[in-house]
Amino acid sequence: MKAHDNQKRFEQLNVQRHKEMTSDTEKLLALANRLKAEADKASTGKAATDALSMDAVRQAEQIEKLAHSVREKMRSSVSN
Amino acid sequence: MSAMTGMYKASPRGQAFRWMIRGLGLAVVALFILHSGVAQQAPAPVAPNPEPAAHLQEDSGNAAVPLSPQEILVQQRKDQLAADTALLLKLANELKSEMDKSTKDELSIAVIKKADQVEKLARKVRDEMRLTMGN
Repeated sequence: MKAHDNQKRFEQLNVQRHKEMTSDTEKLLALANRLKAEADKASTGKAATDALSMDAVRQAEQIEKLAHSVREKMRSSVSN
Repeated sequence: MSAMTGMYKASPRGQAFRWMIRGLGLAVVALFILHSGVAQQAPAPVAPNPEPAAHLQEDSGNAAVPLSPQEILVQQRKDQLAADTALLLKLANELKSEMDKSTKDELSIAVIKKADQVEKLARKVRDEMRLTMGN
């Protein structure tokens, strides 16, 4: 009975993890789109002052964290 | 016609005229050859250096002014950043595609690899952005 409960819980965790990974990947893709748009805008700007905003740096950081999270969550499915 | 030609040949004035025409024709041909030879030998006007021309910007008066080395560096960083963000977007799309293919009970090595690439590139982009902003 306990083994069955553990199995059920393990499956629930896997489903939850997969949902989170999918959600993280979608967020990551949306951020990558926004970041590219900002970089393109800054690149085509003629003046040297057309720099990127601090928001763009935060987006890059967020992408990095999301990618790390996806990778770790996918890896953790092995350890289970 | 032959009579006319005969008359023309017979006339010393006509002969002189013919020789003059021939001489003139030869002179024109010689001039043409000489001119084309000089044109081939003369070096084509060389553009000073395409590099500075590529880094010209227009001021308010529509006159192209060269960018300073600092401005060129900033522009190069921005171009690099644009290329890296394009690659980041491509990888993000690939990651999403691999993620969609995976199932809850499966360990996807492709997802792990793509996520790793995205993470590294995002870090690089972030550092590049900080450098660009610093300038």
